Amino acid sequence: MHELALAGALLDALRDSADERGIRRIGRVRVVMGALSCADPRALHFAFDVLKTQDDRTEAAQLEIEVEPARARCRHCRHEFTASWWQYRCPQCQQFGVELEGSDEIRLDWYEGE
Amino acid sequence: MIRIKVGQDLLKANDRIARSNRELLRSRGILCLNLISSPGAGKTSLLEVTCRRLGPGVRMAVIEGDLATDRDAARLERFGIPVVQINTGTACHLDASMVSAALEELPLGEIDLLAIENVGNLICPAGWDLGESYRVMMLSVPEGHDKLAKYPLVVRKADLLVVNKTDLAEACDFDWDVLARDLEALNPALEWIRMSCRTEEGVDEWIAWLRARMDVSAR
Ligand SMILES: Nc1nc2c(ncn2[C@@H]2O[C@H](COP(=O)(O)OP(=O)(O)OP(=O)(O)O)[C@@H](O)[C@H]2O)c(=O)[nH]1
Ligand SMILES: [Mg+2]
Ligand SMILES: [Zn+2]
Repeated sequence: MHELALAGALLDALRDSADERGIRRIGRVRVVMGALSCADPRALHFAFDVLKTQDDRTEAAQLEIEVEPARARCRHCRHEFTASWWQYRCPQCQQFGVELEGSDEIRLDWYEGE
Repeated sequence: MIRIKVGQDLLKANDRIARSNRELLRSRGILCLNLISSPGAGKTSLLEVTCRRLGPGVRMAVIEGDLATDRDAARLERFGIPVVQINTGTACHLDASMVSAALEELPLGEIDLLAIENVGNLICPAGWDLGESYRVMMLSVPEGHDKLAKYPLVVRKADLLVVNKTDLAEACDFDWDVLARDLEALNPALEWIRMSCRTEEGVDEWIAWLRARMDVSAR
């Protein structure tokens, strides 16, 4: 649900940067979402598409979201793997107790504009 | 078209305001709690018990994130403490700028303990730092013993877990072993208290937890 607030923050960041760079039209927008962020990419897409129409510069922007996986390590059998979500059951020994190391950030990586 | 590298965390603006809230509160020696739970878990009940048990020796104040009504604020104003209600309509969480505005309405020189009751929700508030000293997560027994696993971010970011409504554990077939196992998996270092605002089980432990931290922040 807070994807609406995130989309607002994303558009603010885009507008600030566009002001600074004199950009009048924004195309592709790349966002990197840490696997541990607990935000839903689909909901962020939806909220972004609703809010982007409020400004001429972002009207035609296309959002792309990349999920950055977390490193996972089982405390029991030491199995190491990558997780794209909060996974805390080990796929190898099936026990609970996985240590996750990853980002919970949601980052505006880059965008294209003219 | 040119490609422009930004590399900015979207919560950065919030974090900046949260930092200034934290500095302000620290400079006044105020212990600040951010109370996070599902709707109806018992946040306001816990604050009522806390007011009663701490008594007039501790000057308490509350920021209420009840967005649609002023009922929770009215329940706490009965104790004669300052209560600021945040009214933003439909937000699913509080953010640092809302808290910053609320702080301006509070007599900061006359407060030892400030509790922020976040909007009832276990997902969205987790990502937003408000400038609190501690995050207290509350889960209530009727929600089920398996719920921690569904809200991992808040479990991971909490400083204390209060499991409320233990008086209903038997009626709800609440399995404490499942809770312990999930905690072990998600955040083994997390302290937790079994509590009932009804029978006051665990309230002594809660008050002791608070007092220990208030002594530190008053220094
Ligand atoms: N049985 C039992 N009921 C409780 C306990 N604590 C709170 N309640 C009841 O649970 C209901 C909700 O409590 P509140 O304190 O309003 O919960 P809240 O988390 O502040 O609710 P919202 O602000 O609406 O999200 C009330 O009817 C309380 O009387 C408890 O320990 N045991
Ligand atoms: Mg309440
Ligand atoms: Zn394993």
